[in-house]
Amino acid sequence: MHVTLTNSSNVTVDLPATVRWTNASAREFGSAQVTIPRRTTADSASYFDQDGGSLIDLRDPNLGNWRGVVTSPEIDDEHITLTAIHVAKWLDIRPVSRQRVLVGMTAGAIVRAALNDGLIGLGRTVIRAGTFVEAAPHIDSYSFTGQSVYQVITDMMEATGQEWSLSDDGALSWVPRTGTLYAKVLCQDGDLKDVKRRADVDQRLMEVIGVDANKREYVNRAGELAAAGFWPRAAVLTGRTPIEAARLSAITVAQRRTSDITYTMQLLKTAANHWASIRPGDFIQTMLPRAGTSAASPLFRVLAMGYADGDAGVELALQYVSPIDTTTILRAFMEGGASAPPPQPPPPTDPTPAINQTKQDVADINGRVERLEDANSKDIAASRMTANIVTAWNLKSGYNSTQLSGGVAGGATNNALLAGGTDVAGGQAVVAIKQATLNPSGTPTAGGVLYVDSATGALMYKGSSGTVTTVAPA
Amino acid sequence: MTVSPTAFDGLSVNAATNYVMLLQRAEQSAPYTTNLTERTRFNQYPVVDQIAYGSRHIPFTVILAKGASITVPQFINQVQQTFSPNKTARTLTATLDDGSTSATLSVYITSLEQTGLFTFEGEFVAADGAWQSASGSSGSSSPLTVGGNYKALPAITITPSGTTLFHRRFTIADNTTRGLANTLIRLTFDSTAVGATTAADYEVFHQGRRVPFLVQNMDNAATTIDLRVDVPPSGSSVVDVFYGLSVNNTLTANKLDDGGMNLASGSFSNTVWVYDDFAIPSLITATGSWRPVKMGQVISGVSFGIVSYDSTSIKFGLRPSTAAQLANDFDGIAVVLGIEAGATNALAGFSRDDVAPSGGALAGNYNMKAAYRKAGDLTWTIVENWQGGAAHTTALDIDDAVEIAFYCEPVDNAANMDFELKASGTASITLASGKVATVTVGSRQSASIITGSLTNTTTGKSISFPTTYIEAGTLLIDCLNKQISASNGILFNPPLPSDGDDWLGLEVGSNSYTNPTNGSAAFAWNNRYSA
Repeated sequence: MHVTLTNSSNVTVDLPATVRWTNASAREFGSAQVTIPRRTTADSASYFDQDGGSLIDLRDPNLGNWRGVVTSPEIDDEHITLTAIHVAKWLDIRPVSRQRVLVGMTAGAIVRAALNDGLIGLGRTVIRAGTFVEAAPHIDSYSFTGQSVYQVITDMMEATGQEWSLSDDGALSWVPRTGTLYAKVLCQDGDLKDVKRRADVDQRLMEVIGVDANKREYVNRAGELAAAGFWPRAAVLTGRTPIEAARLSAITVAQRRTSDITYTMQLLKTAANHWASIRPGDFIQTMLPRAGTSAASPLFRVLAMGYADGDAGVELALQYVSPIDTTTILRAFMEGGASAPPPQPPPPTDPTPAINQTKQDVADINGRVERLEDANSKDIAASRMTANIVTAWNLKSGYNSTQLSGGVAGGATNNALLAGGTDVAGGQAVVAIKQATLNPSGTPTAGGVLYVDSATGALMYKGSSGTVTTVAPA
Repeated sequence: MTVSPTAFDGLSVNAATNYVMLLQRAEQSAPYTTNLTERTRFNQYPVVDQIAYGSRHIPFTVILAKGASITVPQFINQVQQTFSPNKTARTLTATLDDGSTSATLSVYITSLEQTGLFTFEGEFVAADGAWQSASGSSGSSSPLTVGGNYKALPAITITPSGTTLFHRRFTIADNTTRGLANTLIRLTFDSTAVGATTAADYEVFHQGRRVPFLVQNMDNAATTIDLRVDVPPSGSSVVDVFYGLSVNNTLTANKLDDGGMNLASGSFSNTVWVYDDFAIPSLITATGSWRPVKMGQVISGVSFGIVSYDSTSIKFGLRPSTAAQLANDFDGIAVVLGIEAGATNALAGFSRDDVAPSGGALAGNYNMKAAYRKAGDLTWTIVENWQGGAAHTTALDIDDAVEIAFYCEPVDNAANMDFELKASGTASITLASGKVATVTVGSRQSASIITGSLTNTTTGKSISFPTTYIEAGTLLIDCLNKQISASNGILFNPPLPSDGDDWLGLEVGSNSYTNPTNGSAAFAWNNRYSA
């Protein structure tokens, strides 16, 4: 992939790269990784800052452009690995002003104000104002209290269904939720890995309570909420007036109704030259059978697109949008077929065994590749592009407690999530372990069990002698 | 099975040419089985219900033939070019071990290494492990007889039959340069000649998505369909309308949120929005709907709110007393147009009145205002500002506004007071004609609906048609390449196979099938061989 590195000077070179494009609705920032062999042209402080902060542009004739800021380069004797995050991250870092209340504005006007507050006037800003749609709904009142520009934008997205976009040259626009329609072009190929992973129960709400300035409560409850059954979690939102409190809770209820998350790994194949044109934000109509819905003609929206040099295709994250909107995410791996991009050399070093993404291979934490054998295993899929520790869930019977569950590494946060843990309490490069649902009752042999006590929340260790030791209190 | 390669992507590779290719035994991923039954008490092997093969890895060798007419550098150069590893699908041709059947295999190359001066070694990968005959077979009546030794994956052409319907494609182009979101647009077209006399005879897709709409003047030369659209800035989006007796749409027909507009008015158009309703709108208000808002100054201890409303007026009040409000803390009403208002008399038929609250005397300590905001403005521009006294009924000029509001501003909190916004039967907003979206009406095309399912009764596998729409022509279902396409390019609600791997594969031997409800199938396939 063509890479332009910019620090005090700039250079364009051809380097192996992994890149992920995202759409606003993906609620994540794109990322990229580039490897520079030492003692080559690009190996110069003129082109990247060893402390991070330099600019990087990636250009692929088929997939498009990508611009990001290098975070912290990793340097060894053989290679320099540059990890970059999309320049949209600026929106997440820069705050808006405080104590400013916008009354009776559209979301487009509010986002424009946030951009002016947070970014305009900075010396080396890479984001500028683009086009802003002015459409309903009308936001009665919105307060700038020093939150990030991205937070303002996210609030507006949730209130309106409109979304932001960032052009290659850095123009931030507020636009309707539109994208090119690709009807009937993606079809199913290979294995249908039709496994569901719903939202963790502790992330789901049974009721949403709006509280006004007089402490009066307005409750919206299940039926429309994601958490049916017996999970009691509630969320409390504060509004200044009774109407505002009631509406806030109603809005949140409407949003939570769509929080039923289903992951399905699906190998897709394009028949025509869509490889080179489908982008995040576009709509694709597939003949992708999906359990749990009677939808006859599933229409999906592409939220993210990942590509690594040397791969046969791109990975798509798809959102199910028709006939009803949900936040259902499907992941698809789109092969190039006859119109695949020109071949790229593989990365110079890659100690991880190749993972066959089209079948049932799954890599464990040590990088071994295991072939799974029975039909019950078909629900496992892995992506080498997005994680160093490969996420795996719904492992076949007998392997449940020997594998990571939901562990993800890579990206900006670098967190490892063990045993279903998701709450990192705002940490980065930390390990989260979920509280045990059942403490070990037996005694392990030739080893021990590390767990978070189901009752106390303390970190515990049970050894082969049967002794239970508290490693750290809750 | 032994195969003798004869060509690779058009380059002859046999003893008679400059190149000789040898294929080693394929290292194919082990077949995995499904539905294994337990061993019987006679210790028989499990019954294999189904076998599917994974990708096939085939090491190959290319050597310079004896007596070749090319030089060694030419040989090296051409091999490196022809056999360069990449993931593009390429065709390997060979003669099977019967010595006569010419077959092909779709492969890509993962490696190529020069192991000697005249020798290269590499590896093919074939995602589909079966060779297929170079000559094809076909059939259009049940049963079909399939040769080879492995299931065939046919290309199936469905020819619709039965009731004809029509399709039109409309293009909606933005002229605001900022895009349109959830904006009401009217399509006007000729729907005659197909008997589409009820709303259920119409189906509307916006950007491929089935959307609610309102249809009027059906089976008429000037039928109208109103719907809400999203259009990117300076771009366009497409609306596809199918209409005809066989549509039978009860889900989205006449389910449009009209936002309080009078869509039945003869004055309504894409440029003139006619209103007749002040009902409190739903949670997220659509573009073009009037909505209660907080606009003006708030005085501590004073409640603003909607006192009453009906289809033609909405009354706001200021209550320093404890009188209840229908909706508290709203002191005005506003509408987001999305498109700029016209420069002259944009608001017609709206009137504002200051009225005495029920049971009390009218006090004059407040201002009533009308205001607008242009795209990009963060402040409101006041176009009228009056205090107490007579009703105001003058038509307002709103220049280029994308948002308009009427509201009440208290001067003090000493007295109760109300104001009322009224709409006559012809109240309307006129938009800037040059900024209204351009609607291009596509020509009428014959179309078909396919329902039911196509079933291979020998295997039990089927492909169902969930009210599949296509333009006139045929529907092609390619089970080998996993592709579905309509001969005229328009396809909505594509069919769904019951088998995700083979779709409607044909077993070796006899296959019986049944056609979908209103279509007939013709099969074309190449016999396949597992080698």
